[in-house]
Parts: sequence; structure tokens; C-alpha cells
Amino acid sequence: MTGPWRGSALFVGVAAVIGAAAAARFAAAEDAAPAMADAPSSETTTSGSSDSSSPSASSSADDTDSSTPSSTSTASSDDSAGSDDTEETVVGSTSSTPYGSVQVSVTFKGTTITKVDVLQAPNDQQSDGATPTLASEVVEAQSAKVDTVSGATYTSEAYLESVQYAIDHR
Amino acid sequence: MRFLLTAMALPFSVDVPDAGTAAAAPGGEQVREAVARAFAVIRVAERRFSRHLPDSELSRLDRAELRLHDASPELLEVLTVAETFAQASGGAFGVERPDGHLDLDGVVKGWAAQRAADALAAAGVERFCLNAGGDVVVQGGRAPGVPWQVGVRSPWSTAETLVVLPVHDGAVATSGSYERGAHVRDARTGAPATALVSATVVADDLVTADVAVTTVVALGEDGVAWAQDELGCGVLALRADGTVVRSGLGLAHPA
Repeated sequence: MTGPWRGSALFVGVAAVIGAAAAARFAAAEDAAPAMADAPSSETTTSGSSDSSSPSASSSADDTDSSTPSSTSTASSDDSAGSDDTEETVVGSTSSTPYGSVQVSVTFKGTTITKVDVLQAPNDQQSDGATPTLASEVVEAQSAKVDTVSGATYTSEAYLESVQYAIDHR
Repeated sequence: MRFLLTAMALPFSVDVPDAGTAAAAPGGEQVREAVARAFAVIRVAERRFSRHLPDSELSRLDRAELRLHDASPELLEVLTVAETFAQASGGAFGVERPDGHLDLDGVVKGWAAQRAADALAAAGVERFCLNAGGDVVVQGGRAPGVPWQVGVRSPWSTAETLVVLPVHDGAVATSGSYERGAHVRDARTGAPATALVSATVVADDLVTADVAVTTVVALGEDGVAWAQDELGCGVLALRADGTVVRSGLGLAHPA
């Protein structure tokens, strides 16, 4: 393996742990995420700020298939929801890369990451220079928050545990 | 505005950024109607192509109760796409299972989701992110000139993101053995493909991305170069040992 790949593995580990820390932090902040399994059937709704109407999807009064085409929707109030100014540090899980373990702690102020501290990094001379740079790169790139997640087709259980579920229900 | 639908036993979500002050952007009612149409497209596709519905057009074709002559234009279109990719992949991509039954799952989800995205655009929604059970179609960026940030799920954890791909317009599909086991087979041999634990393809449309990513996994590591050379797609793949193969993604940060 050449040098750049070691850095890549480290970055992947750091990014993965950041993601986990963020997911844990925001999942803890949400009180009652609605359960998909209990969703009402056959209705598409949105809740805009002043809108209480619930139009139903235009098709399929004749849905007799077995895959239960129920639909729900929630509105996202986007970046304005839940941003307070309290500072909170979350220690991320330990992520394995082919070159060793990576663990970071992430400090949030509201919903913004202000600091990343690397607690564990692969013990490799090639990563010594890379670690502080990667942490600062992540903080700078952090404004590029994830809008959606591409994954292998979600089973229902995996979906309920996924970052995409957190996005769909925030 | 965000909308959710469950169909084909999958979650479908649509995210339409708020119009803000853009005068020409669609209003809430127009967005709701557009999304309703898009969801209808998905439901219709499910009725037509589901292997699990005995009276779907696909099931009837599979039992030879339907002649191709009488097939719907949509079924013919899907079959044509499948045949095109079977040829382009040297047979690694195929729609016949080892037991001889017809299985269009590898094409239909992406095809239906892309048609749903097309319906959104046709109804005047120019900026959206549609996620069909992990397959993504985005258009128009998150805001003018700002790409959508598409995370790629880690194979090792549902709650972790492996890398984030900035995509303004296009489609992202991911396939892997980490959810349902090695369900992708190399159609040339019928054997499960196991060399790559996960692959992600970025393409202009979801049909291409979906079929390409299935083919990449079926071909194994050779599939990465194949997808880039044959289809001009960007590819990210993970070997079973956790190392990364990537091509054509132009990421600023290494994966």
C-alpha cells in the first residue's frame, strides 16, 4: 500500500467517526422519532409552518398488494431547528481502519462542529503529519453536511438505524 | 419540504428545499402535487414489475401468460435496458435467476425512481433530492451553485458515513453484500460475487447508476474500470479487506 492510501484510510476512519458522533448527538437530541412501521396508510402529508391540510397521494385506491404502500411525510424546518449555543463534546466510537483504530471527539456548538480532537490514530509515522491536517480539514468541510445517504438497499431494520432515517425525521 | 413514501418495501424520500425568495420557484401546493405524481409513478411501477404480486405484468410474463407482443411499453423499455446492459457487461449483468425465473429488480427500482424524478421536474420542481431506498437522484443543487452532499453509507455500520460526494445533478447508486448478503451474482457463472463488499456509482441518471453498480459488484474489481471506460461513470468500491478502489470521482479529499 502506498502512502496516499494510508491517509485515505485515516480520513475514512475520521469521517466515519465524525458521522457516528454526529448521528449519536442528534439522535439523543430528538425525543420521539416516529416509527415507520406505525405510519398511517396511503397518505402523503406535509406540515408547512401554517398549513394544516393533508392532501392524499393521487393514486392507488386499489392497493391490494402485499407491500403495504403506506406513505407519510414530515416537513423539515431545515437549519433553523434545534440550534442552540451550548457547547457539547461527543466522544465518537472507535472505528477500525486497515491500519489501526481511529477515535475522535467532536465538539458541537449547537449544530456546528467547532473542534475535532483525535484521541486514537494508527501508530504509523506516515500519519503523524496527516492527523492534525485531516482534523482541521474535516472541521472546514463540515459545513457540507450530508443531505442524503446512498446505501445498498435498506432492509427496514437497517433503515431505522441509518443516518438516512435520522435525516428523514429531523 | 420533505415527503416520505413506502413502496416496494422501501422508504422513498423527497427533499425539496424551501423556495426562499426565488420568485420563480414552485409554491407549496405545486410541490405537493408534483410529489404526489412522482409517488404515483412509483406505485404504478410496483404493480407492474413486482415479482411478489402474482398478477403483475412481470409475473405473468414469467409464467408465459403474456406474450411480448402484448407487453406494455414500460415493460418493453425495462427489458430493453436490461438487454443493453447484459450486452455491455459481457453477460455479467443479467435478469434471469439461476432457477430460470425473470428478475428485473436490478433495473426496476432505479427505473421507477428516475421516472419519479422526471415527473417532479416535469411538474416544475427543479431542485430536489430523491432517495429511493438508498438510490439517489438529485437535481438543481441544494441551492443555486451548491451541490447536494450525498453521503455513502459505511458497509460496517448503518449509522456511519464513509465519504461524502458533492453532486449537483445526477444519480448515485450503491450496492453491496452488507445488507442482504452476496445477493449479486455474476450472471455468466451464476456464482455470488464476493470480491467487492460495496460499490457506489455516480452517473447522469439512476437507471445507468443502478445497473452499473450491480454490474460492478458482479464483475468484481475489473468492474471499476469497466464502469468508467464503458459508461463514463465515477465509481467507488470497497474490497472485502477494507481497501478502496476508486475512479473518476474527482474528489477533493481521498476516500
